[in-house]
Amino acid sequence: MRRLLVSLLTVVAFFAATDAQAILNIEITQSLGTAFPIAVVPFQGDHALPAEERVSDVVTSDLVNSGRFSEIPRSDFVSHPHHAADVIFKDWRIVKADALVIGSVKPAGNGTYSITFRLYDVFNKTQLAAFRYSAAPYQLREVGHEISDVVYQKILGIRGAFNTRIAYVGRQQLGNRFLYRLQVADYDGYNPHTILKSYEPIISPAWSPNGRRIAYVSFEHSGHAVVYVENVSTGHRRLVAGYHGLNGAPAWSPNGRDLALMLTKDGNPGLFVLNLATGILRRLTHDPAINTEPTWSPNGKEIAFTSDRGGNPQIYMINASGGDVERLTFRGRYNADADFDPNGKKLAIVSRMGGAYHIALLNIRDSSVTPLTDTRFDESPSFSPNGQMILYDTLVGGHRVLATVSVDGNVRQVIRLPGESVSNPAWGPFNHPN
Amino acid sequence: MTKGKMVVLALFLAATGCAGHKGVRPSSGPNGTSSGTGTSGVSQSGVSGQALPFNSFSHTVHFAFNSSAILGVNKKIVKENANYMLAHPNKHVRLEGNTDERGTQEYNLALGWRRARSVKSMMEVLGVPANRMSTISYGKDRPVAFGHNRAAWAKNRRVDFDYKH
Repeated sequence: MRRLLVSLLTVVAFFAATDAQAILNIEITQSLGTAFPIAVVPFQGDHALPAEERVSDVVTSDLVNSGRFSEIPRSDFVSHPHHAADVIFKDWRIVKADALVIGSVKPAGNGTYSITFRLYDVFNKTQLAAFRYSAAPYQLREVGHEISDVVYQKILGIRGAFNTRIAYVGRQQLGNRFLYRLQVADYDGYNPHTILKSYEPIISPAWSPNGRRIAYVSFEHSGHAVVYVENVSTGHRRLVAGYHGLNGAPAWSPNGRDLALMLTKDGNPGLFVLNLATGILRRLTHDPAINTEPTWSPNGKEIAFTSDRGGNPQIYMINASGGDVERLTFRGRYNADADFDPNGKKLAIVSRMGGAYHIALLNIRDSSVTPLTDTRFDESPSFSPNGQMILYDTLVGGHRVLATVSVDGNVRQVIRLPGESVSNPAWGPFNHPN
Repeated sequence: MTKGKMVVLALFLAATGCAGHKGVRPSSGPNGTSSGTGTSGVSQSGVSGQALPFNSFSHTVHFAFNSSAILGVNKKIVKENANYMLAHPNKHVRLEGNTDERGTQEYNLALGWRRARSVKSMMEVLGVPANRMSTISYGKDRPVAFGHNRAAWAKNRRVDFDYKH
């Protein structure tokens, strides 16, 4: 069951899935600028699959939700080719498609499928890509994301991030208690599974650079905030910071060897760097203010963080080996929770403007701050690994929900997981082990 | 402390436990103390240096936005809790810092911690030994009011005195 409503600026897609937790509602709340018009012909054999496994639907959703593509409505199609020999380019120029995707999904024995797809440049009447995949039924969405990555790369010249995962914290009220779940899901919210359940809060999940491990803060020991590192596939976990006082704000170094942390073990909330192999802890900040929310530059040389040493929370940067601190934000009274973009030139931050908390981009070179959202309680920005989108959480109808915004601020979407408050999202790296 | 008073206190804890609250929370708000009905013969005066009955003073102090300063009536509440601790040398208290929902997760965790430390410092000045107090922070994750408005935010910017830990 899938319904797709298209209007000029709004696309609403409803998905129904087998698992109640997987039911999503992705809304594009704003879409401006020039999107690339693409036609995705329903793949031969797709209609026989359950709705959430239809490969061409996955491709269409990925591309449209990225904000960089607009879908040519299927009702406009003049022909429905599945194979190279059936493609008539004139049919696609008529419907104003600049690119065309066709393909097929066929049973290949032993419960597996063979999937083919081709991408065409309609104007130049050329084939840009052709691939064949073999997949088990549970891998069909992954194949769809692979195809989307190919299209994104070929058309835009940018690596796609559709085959990535996210982590987040779900909160569910059970009587007079809250049940917290640390969850991992595909980037689009599908295939969620639970890493940890607790009746005490869980916050600040952070992916290791290779996507195998997640660091997080758990209050499960009588409310004492400690930091664990957990292997996502085995479930094995290790307490890495359980010092006296608060242990929080884990951030991985790009080489995966170190964790930057906020600890209060020596008094005030200060930044530390923990070597995970040796257990050696190095103190980074020495002032009496709050210093927290570290994020490493992609080259590992610098750490940006939040400090209120100037009277209110602002973004600062320090050499990862210690030393001088440079202030990066100067406007407004609340700039916090930075996340480095993959190019190391900008930081996604939470910036208070006129009493509202927006996701904004901080340009490190000139300290300019550009708001990307206009909702009131936006938090926890996390870049996609290709730097094109920022995942965050916001308040909609009294519940926290996940949302994404493109780095140009033009495309915003809300990903809803009904019945829960969802927060603390973290977008994982490109390559994840299966 | 006499054995008789200990029994009275135990009854109090049992009674409030039945009320279904997490921890012992007297029904006072930010504006001060509730009346201590049905208490034992301990002094009701509230004069500095004399301990009030357990349920006759607030176990919560409140704060301004992004502040850990203890102001106004909250100073009196800290004193009342300090007096209680001084009169009950075997008691331990956990100071739990909290913030409102606004702002970022980890900054609020640190802010809640600083509020708890601020209360602990004042308690120490009032003579309560540091080793009978511990501090934690829940940041924004343990609200007592769930609205997204000023009234809810004011209630959530707080330090709770938890005598169960």
